[in-house]
Amino acid sequence: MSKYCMSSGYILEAEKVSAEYFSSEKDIPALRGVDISLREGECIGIAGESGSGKSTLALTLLQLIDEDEGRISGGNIVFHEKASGEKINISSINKSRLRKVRGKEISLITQDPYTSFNPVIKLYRHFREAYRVHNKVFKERDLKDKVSELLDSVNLRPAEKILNSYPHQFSGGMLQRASMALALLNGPRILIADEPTSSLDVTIQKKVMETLKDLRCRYNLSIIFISHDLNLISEIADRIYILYAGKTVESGPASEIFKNPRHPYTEALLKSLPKLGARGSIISIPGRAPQPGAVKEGCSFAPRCSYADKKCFKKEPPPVLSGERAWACFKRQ
Amino acid sequence: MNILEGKKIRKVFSREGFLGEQLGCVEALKGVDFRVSAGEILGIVGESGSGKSTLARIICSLEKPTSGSLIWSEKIFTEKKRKLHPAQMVFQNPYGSLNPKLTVGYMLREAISAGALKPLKSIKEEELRDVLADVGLEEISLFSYPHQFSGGQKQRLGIARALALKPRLLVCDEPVSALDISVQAQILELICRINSEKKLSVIFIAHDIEVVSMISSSILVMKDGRAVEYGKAEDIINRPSAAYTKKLIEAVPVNPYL
Amino acid sequence: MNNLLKNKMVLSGLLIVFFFIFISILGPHIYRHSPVEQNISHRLQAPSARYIMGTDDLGRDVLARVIAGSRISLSVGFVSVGIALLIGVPLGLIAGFYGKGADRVIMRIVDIMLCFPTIFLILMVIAFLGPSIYNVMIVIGLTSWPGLTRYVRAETLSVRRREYIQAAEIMGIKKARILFIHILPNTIAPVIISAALGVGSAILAESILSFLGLGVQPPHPSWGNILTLGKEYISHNTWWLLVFPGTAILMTVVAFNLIGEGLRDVLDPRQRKER
Repeated sequence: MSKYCMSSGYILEAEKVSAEYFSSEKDIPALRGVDISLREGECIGIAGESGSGKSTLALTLLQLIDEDEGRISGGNIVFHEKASGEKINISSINKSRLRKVRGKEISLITQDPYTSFNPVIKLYRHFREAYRVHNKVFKERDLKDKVSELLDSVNLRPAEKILNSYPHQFSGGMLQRASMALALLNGPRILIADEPTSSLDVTIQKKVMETLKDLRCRYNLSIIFISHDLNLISEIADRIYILYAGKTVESGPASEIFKNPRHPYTEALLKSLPKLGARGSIISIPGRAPQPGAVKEGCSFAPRCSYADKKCFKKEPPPVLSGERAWACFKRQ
Repeated sequence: MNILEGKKIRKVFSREGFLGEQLGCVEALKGVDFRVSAGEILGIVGESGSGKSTLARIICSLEKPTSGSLIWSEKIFTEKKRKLHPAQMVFQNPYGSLNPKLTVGYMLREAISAGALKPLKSIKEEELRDVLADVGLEEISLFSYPHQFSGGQKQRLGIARALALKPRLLVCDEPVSALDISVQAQILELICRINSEKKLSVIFIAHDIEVVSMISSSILVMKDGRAVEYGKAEDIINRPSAAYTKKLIEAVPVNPYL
Repeated sequence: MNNLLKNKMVLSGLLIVFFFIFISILGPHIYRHSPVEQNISHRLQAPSARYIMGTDDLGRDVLARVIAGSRISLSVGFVSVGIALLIGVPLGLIAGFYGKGADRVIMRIVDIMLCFPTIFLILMVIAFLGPSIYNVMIVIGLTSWPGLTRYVRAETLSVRRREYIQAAEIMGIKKARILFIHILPNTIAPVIISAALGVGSAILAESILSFLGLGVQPPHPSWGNILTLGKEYISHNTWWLLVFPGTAILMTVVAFNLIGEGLRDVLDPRQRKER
């Protein structure tokens, strides 16, 4: 993938992030110490199965886990503010500062666009409300111009008609593009996309991905792209993190991960990807991913791993670092 | 030999008002022809609104076609005076397809008894275990409830329930689109294995041509209630003739590194 | 079941209800004063060591009457809700499952029933049949089923569309079996909730009717007709005739509402927050 307009400065660094959900018996860990870093203008892909903690990671980065349902139990999330060069620790700032970061600096688009819009409010008011949060005084004219430009950049025209419609009047793909425009309204530098295309048809998925790539270049966005589909991630990501049972098992530049996977889970995941016209060559990973909370000692992938031996079941493998890459496996040192 | 042939299947849904008057109608299927030959996997691809699920429901007699006919091969009906439907269905949503209040054992017992036309109590435990073994769930407890299983396991249970009736045709309506990629591969593998071991014909419906191409021997491409292309899987993937098929193939994400 | 008892609302509601069931069954054996024995010389006495809740206009012991009244209130609550369930649930199932004509007819009847104010319907029937405790039970039961029918119908409609019901249809399973094995158990949660709430409102309806003199007839005691006396002698400052039966009504109705609301939290997943 081309390197777009990347500089080497970090914009977001998360260190040893853990989160857990409450349940009647005990707390269920969903994230167990995940490190991620994002450079200015870079796109990282987060891949994992359901239960791997990938969506929890998105919520954690924005401190959006519902207080009644769970909590962030550890780690630091540091955001580098551009104007002042100041480092903001998102995990410890107060709520009013946090509100200035959310939407303004880091934005989120979710899986189902229909649930992220209020069905009884026209589109324009969604934009207006979102703008008002970060701009106390503004001219209606300026907002209209800004929104029209954004809608134009996600290929929704004519703006006037779009803004006067209710969410249900759109198809899923159009509404997802509108939600991208809404997410970019306050000029965020980071966009978190949590499975943005998994509720859409394949031809629509293609359009949404193209829009996303286009926006990335136009606004110099840094993107965190979360998906269970590695083929989709490969279209946009520069670096990839593979999550399994709440931990990163492998990370590194996309090209190296795909050409030379080191962790057995990554290897198996790549083999199980569907290939067009490759009939009869389905290779799946045996067994099932552990449920959050049911993780035993040792490597969490060991029960499904064909390379595993006694040691793998006893001790948790520490990450092996090699240049930009990292993986956690005893068998691949 | 064909096991099932559909001729000019049309389906019109109409909306009725308070006094039964017609308010409007939608033509979901506009005359679709298809064939399923014995022991093959027919893939049906199309996006939402293409009518592929309506076609599946018509094949399973959940809906009546407005016009057109389904011709089952005679052999099925002469062989045994079956009251039983020759097709069974596997559904998309693994969470909604199993009754949350029934144990796995009861669900399978009911399915086997419906298939064998025998009373519920005469079904032995070995028969249940055999069906579970077919879908790779040998070890589960017969007293467990659906919510105790993962999405992939629920989908296996759904397939087990369909197999328990010993159908001639398995209709899978988007069986993998709610699952993670690695679990998708497991279910596709399972459907392939059932197809070859039991010589069971399968209709496999999906919106993703990539997935369909992994397991089907012939493919029917649908758009807006019409069949736009039908033929052998290799031909359709390698030499698509309809513009829409080409569009579907182009939309498949291409991994630049592999 | 475990979850049920962990819910504080259900637990406190159940404790109160069990307390009233306990006193309605064992109360008369422990507190050996007759609820109907008159003692004119002790009329309208304020609570004292001898008469814990005082006496009424004929010198009858109010505590004994409240205890005896609890039996009537609870049985009116349970019996009338039982009648409502027997009518409402099958009608709702039929309307939701068979649809078309059956649905139209049943829902129009429900609409008509809901158009009349309930108290007016009750008064009409009592006027024809005459006031008695059995008529009260039957009348409250006959007027409170339409709400239940609506609940059950809505739930049946949504369960009916689930894929496991369609699977059962393709399997060729008999309609009656689909209805009772596959649909009914999945619609029962809202029924239990509204039944619990219904017991509370039935008890309230009985007290109102007895207060108006249309329910339980003197000399038989009921919380409602003790209140009536309290109203008549209100100028004599006979607060005990109002406070004690009133508190009993309040507590039972609150208890059943607590159980209903608590059950909703436990049984109805839509009200619970999804993770």
